[in-house]
Amino acid sequence: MTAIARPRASGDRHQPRHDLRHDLRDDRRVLLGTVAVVGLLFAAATSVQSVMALGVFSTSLRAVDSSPVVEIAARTAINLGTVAVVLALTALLAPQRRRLALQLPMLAGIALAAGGARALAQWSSGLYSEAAVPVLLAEVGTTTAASGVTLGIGLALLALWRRLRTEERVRLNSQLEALEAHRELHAEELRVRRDVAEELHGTVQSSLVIVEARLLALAETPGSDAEALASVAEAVRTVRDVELRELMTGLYPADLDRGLVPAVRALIARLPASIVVDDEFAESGMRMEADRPLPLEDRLLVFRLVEEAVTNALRHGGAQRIRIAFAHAGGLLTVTVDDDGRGLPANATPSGLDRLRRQLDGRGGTLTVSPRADRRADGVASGTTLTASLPRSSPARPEPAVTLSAP
Amino acid sequence: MGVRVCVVEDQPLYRQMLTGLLGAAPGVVVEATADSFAEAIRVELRSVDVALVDVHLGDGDGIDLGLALRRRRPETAIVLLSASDSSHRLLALPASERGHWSYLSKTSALSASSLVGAIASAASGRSVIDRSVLEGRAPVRSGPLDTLTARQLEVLRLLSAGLTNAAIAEELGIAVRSVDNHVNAVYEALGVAATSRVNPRVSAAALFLEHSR
Repeated sequence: MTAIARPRASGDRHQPRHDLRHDLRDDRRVLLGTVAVVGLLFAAATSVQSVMALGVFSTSLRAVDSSPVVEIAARTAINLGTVAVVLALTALLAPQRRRLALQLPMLAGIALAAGGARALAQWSSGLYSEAAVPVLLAEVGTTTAASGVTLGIGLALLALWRRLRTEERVRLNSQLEALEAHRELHAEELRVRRDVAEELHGTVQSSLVIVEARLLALAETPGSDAEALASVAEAVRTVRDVELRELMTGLYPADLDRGLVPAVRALIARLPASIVVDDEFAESGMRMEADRPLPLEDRLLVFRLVEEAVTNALRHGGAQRIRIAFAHAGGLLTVTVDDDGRGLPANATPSGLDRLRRQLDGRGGTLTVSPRADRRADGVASGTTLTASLPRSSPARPEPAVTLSAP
Repeated sequence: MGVRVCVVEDQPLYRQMLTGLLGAAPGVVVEATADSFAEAIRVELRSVDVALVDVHLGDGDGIDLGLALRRRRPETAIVLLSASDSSHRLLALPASERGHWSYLSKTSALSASSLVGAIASAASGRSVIDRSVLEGRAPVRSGPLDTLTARQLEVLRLLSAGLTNAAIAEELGIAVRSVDNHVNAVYEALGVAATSRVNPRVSAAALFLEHSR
């Protein structure tokens, strides 16, 4: 079995894991912090205001002399207590974790409780005389309103905070994805450079060394024969036609600028005549680029997939027949390559496939390599199907003009 | 007056070698040279019979250029030159165009006889495909060429290289009459109608290119 389908890993790779508990703690901190600050401001302002504006009135209400300092201290203590009640109830009931429909009654309840508690404290501490029941009721009302507003500000600020946090995360994620894609691209460029350098050194250079040596030997031989020269010419032809062409294809596939079909046609033209390639690819490939050409990066990736599948089919699978098909639906490009070979050896994932899988991963695509769905008559699995799909990228720059349409 | 040629090649040394070879050949006149797509597109075509065009120009594609030149002057024949085997590119041409196009490898083009021969054939309305390109090719398994006999395949190969039946007979050392028979058998096997508007030799050559590697 050669099924090496693997679920896409990008879910856990590109989404930094955020601890839910951390977020809840964060929410509580923001809410309680805001309520504390706003509540303390209210508390301080109310204490000063009561004494400065209502001090005389308050004294006359109770018909006792009182110094402003004691007044302020007593009132401040009560107000701080009220803030503490709001904070405690908020921490206990955690309205930030409820639905909005539950948050409002909860907010009203907490505010009312704070108002009641404050009035009770004021009454029991004797700040108001018993005759001042309407004043106490007014205090309940204003305290409830102030607490409600405080808690409301806290919840509103928390909602804003949450939105900013989400936006920041989305921004960070897309930055991470861009970084990842850039890294992938850079790694790919380095790989190609290294491969080309190795190929230049290992194959082209050593071929040229041999050619040079043979030419020198011929130069030293008087009356060199035509046959020997022709054989050197043949060696030069191999360097030019085979080795250099392979290098060029590795760097940039022939005819890619002209479209996917011409590039695949150039690839097929290099296959041995014993390999049958079904004609389907031309029609489906033309259809894929009929409305508008694919962005070059998509075209290159699709071409590399075909190239890799064909190479594996011939090299590892000993295939005789290959079918290549393209499809384009709903912004999703799909390429399917079937062959009738033996399939990839078990547990073998050619490095080329791994690399392409990573590239697809970074682009939100998928790659599946599996035994061919249709079995031979004797029931033995034969051949491999490679299926890859990727979302078509939006063109970032104008494509090279193609004036000649391929068949 | 000889065949008037326009040479379009971006590599200076290779262009020089081509103009040198053509200048020395009797019956051929180099009317114009161009080192780029942009320059070639401005060449005065009235005095050109054959355009010798490199497939890979620095600033454009030789086949696009050939099509543009032929749109401007449909009498112009195109001989494509390529350093690597790009003969499959000819298959992208519309069927009505193919007969006016020839193809030479850059190696063959440096042999005076191949070059001048191809240009003379192109000027007289025949399409030539480089013999060295055709010689290495074998029919694709279970394709339409697979049913041809070895002799028929050989005849088709020479026909695709632009040889007349008489020349094929001479090459193979057989009677012209038997070449005629072989050619007709090939047409029949490939389903090429001798009455079609497109020259059957051109259609047969295209099928050879398409179904061999």
